[in-house]
Amino acid sequence: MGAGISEAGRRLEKTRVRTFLYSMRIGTPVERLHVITKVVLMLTLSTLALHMFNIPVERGGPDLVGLALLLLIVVALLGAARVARYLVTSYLVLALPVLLGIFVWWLYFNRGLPGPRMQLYLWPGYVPLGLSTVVLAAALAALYLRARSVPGPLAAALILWWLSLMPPALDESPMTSWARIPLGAAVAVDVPRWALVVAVAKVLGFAVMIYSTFLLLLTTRDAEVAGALRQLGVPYRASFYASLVFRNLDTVMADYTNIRNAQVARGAMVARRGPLARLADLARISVPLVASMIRRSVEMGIALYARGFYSATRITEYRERRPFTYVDWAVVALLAALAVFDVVLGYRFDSMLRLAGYG
Amino acid sequence: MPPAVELIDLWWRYPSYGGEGHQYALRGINLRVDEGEFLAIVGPSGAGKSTLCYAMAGVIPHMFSPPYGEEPEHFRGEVRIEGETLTKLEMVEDPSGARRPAFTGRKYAAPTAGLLLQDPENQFLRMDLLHEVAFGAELLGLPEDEIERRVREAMEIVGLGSLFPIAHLVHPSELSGGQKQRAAIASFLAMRPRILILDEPTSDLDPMGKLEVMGAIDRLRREHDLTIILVEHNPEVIMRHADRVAVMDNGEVVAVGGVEEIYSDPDLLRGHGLYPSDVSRIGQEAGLRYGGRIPISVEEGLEALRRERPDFSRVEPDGEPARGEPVIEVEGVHYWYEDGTYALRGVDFRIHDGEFVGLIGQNGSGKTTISKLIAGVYGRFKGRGDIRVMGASLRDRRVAERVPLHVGYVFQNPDHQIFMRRVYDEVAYGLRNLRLPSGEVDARVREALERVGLSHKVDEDPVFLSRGERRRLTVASIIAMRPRVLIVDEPTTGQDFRMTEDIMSLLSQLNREGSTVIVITHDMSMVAEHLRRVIVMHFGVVVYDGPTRGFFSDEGLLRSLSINPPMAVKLSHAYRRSVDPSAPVLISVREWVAALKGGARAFPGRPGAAARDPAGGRRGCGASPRSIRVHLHVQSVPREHLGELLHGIPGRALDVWQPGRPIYRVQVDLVRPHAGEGLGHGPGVLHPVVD
Repeated sequence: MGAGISEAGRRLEKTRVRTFLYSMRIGTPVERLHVITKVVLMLTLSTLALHMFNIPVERGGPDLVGLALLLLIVVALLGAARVARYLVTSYLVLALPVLLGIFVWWLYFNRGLPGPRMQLYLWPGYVPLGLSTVVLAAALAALYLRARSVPGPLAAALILWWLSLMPPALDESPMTSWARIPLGAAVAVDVPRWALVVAVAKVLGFAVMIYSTFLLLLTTRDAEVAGALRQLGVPYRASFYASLVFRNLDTVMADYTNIRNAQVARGAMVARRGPLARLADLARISVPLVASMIRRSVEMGIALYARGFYSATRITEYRERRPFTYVDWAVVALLAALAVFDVVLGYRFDSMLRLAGYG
Repeated sequence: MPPAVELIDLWWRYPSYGGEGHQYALRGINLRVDEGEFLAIVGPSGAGKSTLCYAMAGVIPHMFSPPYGEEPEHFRGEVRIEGETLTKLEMVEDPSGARRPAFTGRKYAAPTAGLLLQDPENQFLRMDLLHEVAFGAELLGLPEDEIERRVREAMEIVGLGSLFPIAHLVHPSELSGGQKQRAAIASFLAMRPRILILDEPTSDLDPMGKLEVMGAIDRLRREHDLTIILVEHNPEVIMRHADRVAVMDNGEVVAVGGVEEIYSDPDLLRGHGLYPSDVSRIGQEAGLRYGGRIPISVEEGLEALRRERPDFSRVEPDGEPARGEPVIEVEGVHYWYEDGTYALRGVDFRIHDGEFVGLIGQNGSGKTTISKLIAGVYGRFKGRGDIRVMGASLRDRRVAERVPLHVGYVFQNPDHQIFMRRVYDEVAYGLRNLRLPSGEVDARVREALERVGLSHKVDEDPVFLSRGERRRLTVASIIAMRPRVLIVDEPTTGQDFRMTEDIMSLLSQLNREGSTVIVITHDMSMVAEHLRRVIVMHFGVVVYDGPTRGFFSDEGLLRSLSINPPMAVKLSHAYRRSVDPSAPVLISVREWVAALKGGARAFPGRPGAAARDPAGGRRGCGASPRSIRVHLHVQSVPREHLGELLHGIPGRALDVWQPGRPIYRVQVDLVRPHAGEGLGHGPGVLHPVVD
C-alpha cells in the first residue's frame, strides 16, 4: 500500500480521478458525460465505422472522409479528457503495430483487385535529410520529455511514417530538402488503387473501434457502473455484485503483479528460456493467484456479513445514480442523427469533397 | 444491565469437507465483556482469536455452516449480544414434525456490533470512499439525508472529515492502509454500533497507519463510550487502552485479568508464546519492582529505576561494524513509476559485504521501490542515477536479468511466492531457472530445507503448511539460490512473538555465515534488538543512514517521522530526561539488563563475544554466554528420537553444540503438544542447563 491521499489543507484539490485504465482529468466535458452515453458513443461510432468501410466498390467504396471524421472525433475526445498520453506511454501503444498489420494484410488480401494500379514505396532507397528530419527529431524529443522514454513501437512507427510520407510532403523544395543519402535499392510494391483505399479504410475503421473503446475505458470510473446498472433496471444485489467484480479485478491485478515479481526474483528471466517455459511460468501464477482470490473472497464475504448485507431487506441508494443531463441527451441525439444520415439515408461524407471540387 | 457480549461454554470447529475433521478452534469459552469496557485479546497464532471475533459477530457459525445434521458436532454453547441470544443451537421442530438441531437467535450482530478485519484491502467493498463509508447505513434503509449526515459525522470522528468533499472521487487504491481501516471503522460508525470488534486492525499497517487507527479507536472510546474488543499483539497498545486482557491459547481462554495483573507476569505470557513487553522483561530479568510487582509501562519502569544504580559501563559499546567491500551502491537515484508517481528523489547509500541493515520508513517512503530495483525485480534500471550490484550497473539489461543470482528477495506475503504443489519443487523452482544440474539442485534443495527446519515436509503440498512454515519455505527458496545479498520484506508483520523470533534467528544466522542481509521492516523492537545499522527513508529520500543507536537517540527525528520507538528506548529517553542526562541511550532489553545486572551481554558474533564450555571451561574473553529460549513445536516424536531432533535443528542446536563456536545454553519448552499425542515431557525435563 502506498502513502495514501493527503488529508492536509483546508480545501483539497483533486485534479484527476481513477478510471478503469489509468485516470482522467476532472471537469472535462468527457468526464461530465454519463457512462451510458459513453457506451452509446462507442457502440455508435464503431457501428458507423463498420458500415463506412464495408461499402462495396460498386457503391463507391469505403467513405474515407467519413472514417477520418469519426477518428478525428475520437481523438478530439481523448484529448479533451486529457488521456491521450496514455495511448503512447503505456502498453496501449501496441494498437499501432496492430493497425499496421491490418494495413499490410488488406493490401495483400486485395492484391488481385481490378482497376488502375499504383506504386507504394516500402523503402524509398534513401534516407532523407531535410525539414522532415527536423520534424521527426522534434516529435521524438517531445515524446521523450513528456514520457521520459520513447516506446520502441512508437519510435519505429514514427520513423516509418517519416520515411514514407513526410519527405515527399516537406522536402519538395531545395529550402526544405538538404540531402538524400542513398541506402539500398528502392522497394516498392505494385498495388491496385482500390486495395490501397480499402486498406486505409480498414485501418481508419478499426482505429475508430479500438480508440473509442480506449476512450470508454480511460474515461469511465468503475464506481459509476453499479449506479448505471441500477438506472437500467438491474436489481440492487446484482449491480452490487457486478461492482464487486470490478473491485476484485483491482486486487487481482495487484496480486498478479506481486506474484510475477516474485517469479522474476526467483530467476524467471535469468536464462533464455523458450516460449513453452515462459507459458508454463504464466500458468504457475494461477496457483498462488487462485489461492489468493479464494482467500480474499472468503474475507470479503465475512466483511459483507459483518455489515449486515445478507440481512438487509430495504436498501437505500445513496448518491448511486448519476443524472442524465441535457449534454448527454444532446450527444445521444447527435449520434442518432449521424446514424440516420449514414446508415439509413446512405449519405457519404466524401460527397462534401466532391461538392468542393475534390475527388 | 446485561453485558455487551457474553460467551457461554462456547465450542466450535470448522466444517471439514473431506478426510479427518478439524480440531476444535474454540474450546469451552466463557467470557463476559461489560458495556463500555475495552477488552484486549492476546494469543499466539492459531490460538483462535479471529475465530472468537467471528463468533461474537455471528459470522460463525452462519458463514461456515456445518453439514446438515452435524451441527452438534461443530457447535456448542451460546453467544449473547446485550443480553439477546445471537447464536444458540437448539432442538426445533421442522414442518414435518421431526425435531432436529438448528441455530436460533438473531444471527446478525450488525448494527449493534461491527467487526473490523485485519486486511484493509479485503474489507473495502466499494469503488470509492464515500460509498464505502455509506454502505452500512445504506443497508439499514435510512433516508438519504440521514445517511449523508451520518457519513460526514463518522468521517470526522475517524479523522477523514477533510476528504468528505472529494470522497466520491477517491478510489481505494489512492488510500493508505491506515486510511482504509479508518474508512471501515467509519462505515460501522455510520450504523451507530454500540460494540466494535477489531481483529488485529493495525498489524498490516505502517507506524503512521497504526497511530491513525489507534487514535480513532481511542476517540471512540473516550467520546462515544463504545464497547471495544481488540485483538492485538503490541503490549504497549494494550497497556495504553485496555481495561482487561484475555489470554488465549489453543482455543481456550487461559487467563483473564487487569492489564497490570497480566503484563506483570512475563512467565504467563512467554508460556503462551506472547511478548511480555520490554519493560516487564527488563523488570523480570533485572529484578526491578514497582509497588511489589514487575513494572510494565515506561512510567513504572522509570520509577523503579530511580532506586537502582545502573552501571552503563557494563554495556558493550557498538564498536566498528564489519565492513567488507561494497556490494550495493545506490548513487543519486531518481525513479518514476509508469503512472508518473515520483517514488525516489535522489537516493544515495552503500551496503557492504556482511552487513545486517534495516531499511525503514512509512508506506510510500520508497524503501520497497529501491529494494526491488536493487533485486532486479523491475528489470533494467531506467531512472536517473545509478545502481550497482557488486560493481555492475543495473542500467545494463544483461546485468539486471542476472541480478537474482546475487540478490535474493523474499516478499512480504509468502502466499505470493509459492507456485508449486510440492515443497521440494518449490525450492527447486529457482534453481531450475538457473539451469543447474539435477544433482546440484537436489543437494541445494535439501540443504536449504534443512536450514529452515522443513526437511520433514519435503513432499508436502505448501497449501497445507502453516503460515510460519510457508514463510520459512519462501526463505528456503531464496537461500537455495545462494545469493550474496538477501533482502527480506517485512518478515515479522502479522507474526506473533514466537514466529518473529524464529525468523530473526534464521536471518541472524545467515548473516553470521556471511550473507549480507537487508530487512525492510516497521518493527522497531526487532530493529533495536538485531540490526546495527538503519537506513531511514521518507518521501523518496534517505533521511538517516547510520548506527541504530544514533537513530533511536534522536527524539526529534523519531517524532518528525512518526516512528514509535521500542519501550526500551523510551525508557532510556525518560531516564535521561528525569534522572541522568549523561546516561547513554540504551536501545534493547539486553542492554538494560546488562547495565542493571552486570556481565557484558555481547551481541552474538561481535568482537569479544564470550563463550562458555557447557562442561565448565571458559573460552574467549570471559563474558557469560547468552541464554536463548527455543520454542520447539513438536507434533509427535518418540522420546528416543527427540535428542536427535534437537541436534538436527538448524541454526539452534548446531550452534549450541559445535566446539569453537559461540555456545548457547538451550532451554527447550515443549509447547502445544497435540491432544492425545503428548510426549510425557514437560518444560525443563530435556537437558535443562540451569544458568
